[in-house]
Amino acid sequence: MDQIERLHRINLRQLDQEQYFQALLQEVYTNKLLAPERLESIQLELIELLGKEVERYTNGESSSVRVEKAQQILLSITYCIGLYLKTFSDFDEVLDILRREKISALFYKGMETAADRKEASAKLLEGLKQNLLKVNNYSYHDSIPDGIAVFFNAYNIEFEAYEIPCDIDYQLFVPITKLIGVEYIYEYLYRLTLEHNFTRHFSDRKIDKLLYGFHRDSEHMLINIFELVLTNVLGLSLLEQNIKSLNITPEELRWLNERLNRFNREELMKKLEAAMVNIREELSLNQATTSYAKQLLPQLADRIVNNLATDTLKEIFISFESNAQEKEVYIDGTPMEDESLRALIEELGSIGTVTAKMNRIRETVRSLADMSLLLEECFYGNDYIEVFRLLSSKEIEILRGRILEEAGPEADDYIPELEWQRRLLRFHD
Amino acid sequence: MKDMADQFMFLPVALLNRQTVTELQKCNDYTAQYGLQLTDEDIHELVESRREALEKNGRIEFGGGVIQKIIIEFADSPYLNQEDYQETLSELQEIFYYFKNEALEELTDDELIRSMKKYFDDPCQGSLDYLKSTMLENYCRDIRYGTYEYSGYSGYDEDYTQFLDWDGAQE
Repeated sequence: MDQIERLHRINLRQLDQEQYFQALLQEVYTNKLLAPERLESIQLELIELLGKEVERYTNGESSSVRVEKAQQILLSITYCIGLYLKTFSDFDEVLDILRREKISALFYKGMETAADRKEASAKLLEGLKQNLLKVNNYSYHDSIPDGIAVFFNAYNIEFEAYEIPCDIDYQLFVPITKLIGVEYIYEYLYRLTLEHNFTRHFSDRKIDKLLYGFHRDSEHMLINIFELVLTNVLGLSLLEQNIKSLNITPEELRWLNERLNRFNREELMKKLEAAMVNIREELSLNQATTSYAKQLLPQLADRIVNNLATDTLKEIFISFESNAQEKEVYIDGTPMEDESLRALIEELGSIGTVTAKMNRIRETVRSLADMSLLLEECFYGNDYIEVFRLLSSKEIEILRGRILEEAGPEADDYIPELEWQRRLLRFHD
Repeated sequence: MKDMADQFMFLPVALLNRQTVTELQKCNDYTAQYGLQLTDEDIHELVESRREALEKNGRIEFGGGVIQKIIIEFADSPYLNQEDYQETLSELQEIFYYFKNEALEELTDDELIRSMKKYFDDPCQGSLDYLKSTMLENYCRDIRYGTYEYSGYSGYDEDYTQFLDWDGAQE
């Protein structure tokens, strides 16, 4: 048996990380690493445990459940077992555990592991809360801390351990693709902590300017702040300029263009790596943060090569001035004829989904006056938020101004009569 | 080894069936006082119809199943006859799983069985069609819409308590 094991040593890291226990059993079965009797008894123990868990789930009030529910509970069981087994990196040890431990014992240990991981995640979130960036980006502020905090109350370790019951819109620089449940949350918060370890070295005001330079509507966009900051910092380091300024002026961009044009991809990669070493020293970054940041280098090198060829380096390295010169003057579009507007209101009333309504609005509405009326007539509840997201920050500002104008001198305590107006006033908060 | 989520349903069938057979045999001792008996063949039919009913209604059951509770609850019904005893039980079993789904899991096993028995005796007077297509349909619709004020189940029915305490044929 030992020989067979050595021949068929399973690389635990290569197993499916979402369904780890199932993948492990599959490998063990295929390579005949456990006696058939033990494999059968593992399955029977699993079924027995499932029966017990179903009973707990129904509080003993129902002897049957829908198949989908039983499958979910089984997934929760196998997720927890997998989570526990993942704490062992040595395959022989894992195999030994499978040989001698009861499946129910593995499940209970798995639930403890999940609880520990949840607690560790909560600590990471607490740490992040102390260092939140004060920048204008909705997805960032919606997700951290409020969106993700929902997880800690909603997570059900026993029956839905594989779920991620919260809304996270903010995109990581390196997305997580192979984890679920509390492992996902922990990894998300860990990576976000690494990103904050880097971005906290820069002033919020400058990061905000950088985001605006990237796109004038960046506050509504799903962007990763770390990536934008790191890219410019690398650019500044290549230019041997003050990296804390974050800004790459049009003139600096020209220098950068000239300097980088001399290198091929390989040389460029070396330059970027050298720049990363300097940045690490200057900011005293730890090893984990540096390794995480380094993942940008190959893709950045590719982008630079491509954009040099098309003379569009300014799309990579951002200047604060890019969008600053745009005039802040708002010109409203032409309102619709009364008849067309009535027809549109009727049409929107017959459309079932908010998305379809939004598409229709995008196609037809050109004026804020019309939009106000549509908000009053065609939407309710959470739909408003979707509609507000269609509007630019300038348009939101104008609509709010109009509402507060009605309030007169008591604008501070003003509570509008219409629900969309109340929601709009709260929308920024 | 197939995907376990797909496979687990098929594994314990033999085991569960054995458990059901034993439980049904015990019920015979109790229902003898009402002149109701299941032969080995009847029991086999009931076990098979349970499997079909569960599959048809997309449910999975652990333990011996609800059939034992149905038998005990319905044993004193004047509308049960030895001639079609097994067929009626099979039908009641199927009805049970169907309406477990229809009530969106809002009803416990005991609540549903008690309601089935109540309607079966009166007003259905033993009509399974009326029970299924009218009384339980309306009942479960009310449960779904939250318009039915059912009092909830508080403890076992007297019949079932009696069964649990009963020493039956041993005496």
